[in-house]
Amino acid sequence: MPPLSYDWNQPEEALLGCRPAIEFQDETLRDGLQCPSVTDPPPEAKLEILHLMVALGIHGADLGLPAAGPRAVADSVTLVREIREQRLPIRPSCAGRTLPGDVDAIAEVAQAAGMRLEADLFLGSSPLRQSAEGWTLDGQLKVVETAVRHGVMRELDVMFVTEDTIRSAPEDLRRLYTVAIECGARRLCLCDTVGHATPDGVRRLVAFMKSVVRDSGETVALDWHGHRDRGLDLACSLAAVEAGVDRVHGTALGIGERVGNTPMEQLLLNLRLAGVIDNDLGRLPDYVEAVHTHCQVPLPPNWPAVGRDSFRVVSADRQRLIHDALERGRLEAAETLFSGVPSSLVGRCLQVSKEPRS
Amino acid sequence: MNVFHDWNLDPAASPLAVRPAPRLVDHTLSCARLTPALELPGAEQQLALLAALRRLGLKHLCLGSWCDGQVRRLAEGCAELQLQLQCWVEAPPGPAPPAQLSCYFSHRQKSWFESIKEASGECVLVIQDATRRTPAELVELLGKVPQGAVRGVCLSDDGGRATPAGAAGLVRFVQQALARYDLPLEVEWSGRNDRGLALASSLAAWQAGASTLHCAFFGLGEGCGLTATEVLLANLALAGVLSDDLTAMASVSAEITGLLQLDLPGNLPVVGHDAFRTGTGVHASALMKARQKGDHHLLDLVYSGVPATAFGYTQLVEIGPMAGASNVHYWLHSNGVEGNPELVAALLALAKQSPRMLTEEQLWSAVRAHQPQQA
Repeated sequence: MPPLSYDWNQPEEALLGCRPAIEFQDETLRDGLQCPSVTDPPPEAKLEILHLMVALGIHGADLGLPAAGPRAVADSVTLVREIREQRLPIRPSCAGRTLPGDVDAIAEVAQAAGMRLEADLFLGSSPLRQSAEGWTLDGQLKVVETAVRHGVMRELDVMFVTEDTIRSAPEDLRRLYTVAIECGARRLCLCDTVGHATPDGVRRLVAFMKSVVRDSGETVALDWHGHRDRGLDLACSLAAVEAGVDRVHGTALGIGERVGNTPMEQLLLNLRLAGVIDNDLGRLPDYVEAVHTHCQVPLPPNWPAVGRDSFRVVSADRQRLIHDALERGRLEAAETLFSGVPSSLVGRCLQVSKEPRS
Repeated sequence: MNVFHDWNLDPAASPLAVRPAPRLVDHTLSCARLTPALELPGAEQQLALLAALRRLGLKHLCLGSWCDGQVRRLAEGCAELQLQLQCWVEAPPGPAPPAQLSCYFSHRQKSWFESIKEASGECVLVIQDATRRTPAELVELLGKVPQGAVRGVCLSDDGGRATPAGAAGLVRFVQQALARYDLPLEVEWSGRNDRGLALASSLAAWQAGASTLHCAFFGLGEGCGLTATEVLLANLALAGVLSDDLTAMASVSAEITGLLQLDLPGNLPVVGHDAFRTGTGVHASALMKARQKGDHHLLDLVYSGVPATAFGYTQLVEIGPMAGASNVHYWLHSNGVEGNPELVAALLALAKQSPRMLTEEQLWSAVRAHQPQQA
């Protein structure tokens, strides 16, 4: 049977599928909880969200910022213990500033939970931040060296993150990341902290960083962490995947600082549609619903794939064509006539409104 | 002068390569009709909404289908009020609308090529579901377009299928096909957000050669909606291709929200309640230092990819469980309260116990408890 439609998205999506396997890092329980409208959920709710991440095949989870206070420490310990005791196939990490005190707070979580942790240590690197803080590059290099060495000494797997990478000078980035690699960081994160990036900007930045890693002669993984301020978060994350990062970050419903991060559900969905992954996305609505409920953040009705109205057909013209397809027994055609996302892919159904609007 | 290194800029690109700004056709009203949870306000308020859009430089508006009596009255109202708008309508099947109106004709109408010839205003042919049509189908369809009858063809990504590369590839293909037929027509792009790529695909279509982009405020519309007007405007302004003053964005957004009685999600880029709001210690610390320097430009940019003031907003620092002392100092200063170490510690302790951002009421209550003279 011939295909139901032509796909103008090829060969881009075919090229995406040729790259090595991509990994996902879920930031819902760390960056997500920096969303100004969020409620920090109780530990049992965080455990439910963690299990849903596992069900979706997410590889890693940032579980908190222990230096933020006793509650962050206690919740992080609970979550890491659950991963250890239940042998969950998800790698735990915690975040902190590039300060020995923050590193110690993460190391103490690892010790209390009895499991090795990844420490995601961040430092502002853009000229804007340097100007606001009165930092010099030489001073920052010493900060990185101290924090990364301390993390390695405390038996943490260090990921070094430059904040606002997308607005940072190439030579500053080269020196900061090179020092981090020399001190033992084995993962680097490119971070669009303020949601400034465009897809072309991401491609340029990733290509540059791959050259920095190559020049170091070490085996170091690259991450991409994007934000939604310009509405280009998803496109930028997909551009980073295409450009060759090893792991990409997201949060359920895109919760995070200001208007948030790349929504994990949209990332998974698009990579599944592109054939890059074959994860079962049937639990995607549960994952989003859990965060919507426990974190008390709105789920916009038109949110792709999981919003109340995302598969609702209200216009009379469209309803007529869907009924025609159904009458001919073409269920697959009906489902994709007016949506680039088949509703059954995420365990949902097409909804035809009883009162057509036009 | 650039105060940061911008990886978005291609150092090898010629300044001449920058595309002219696209024309935006806004569908906010027609999409509101198809948004399940919304009821449209009365005619007067609909006209007020159109006038609000005009304040952002949006003058090409698609009002809906010509067979809808409300749409016809709205088009007349626009003319009477001299809003200086170009109103577009979707032409229904059958004879073209009798009035001198700009019309979109769907290629799904059996007699579109005859109706177009009868139309008296500007016309554009909409190729529905263009992103699933084969190259051969598109070529055949474009071959039927009568010379001189339409100003352009609109590629409609009805199911929101397109990726940015897909949108760009399709626009380039259609341009080449039009050139082969010697049809000097503009290409328009109408994108939807089913995959979350509406904005990126619209920008890619424009960069590939589309001269008009379709959009609706807040991404209103059936299903996941159209490309959101506000982020399209913001991105074009940030890319330097739009010189319009967009400081009215905040007030226009509030006006549309009020007229449509919308409950706007806080996480909408640019116009959402959270767009310029933080409760995190590290962020507050940098914002406070920028403010202490008296550098408003730095204050607006240091933790924001979108400068709040350019769109009529301000950066907000609040106090919640992720706060540090800087959040407290910033808030106290913004509210004219003289802080002392005990008050700062008390507010911070309160925040650390809270599962969410403290409300103004909670904060003022705590201030009064520690410093009754500040009440």
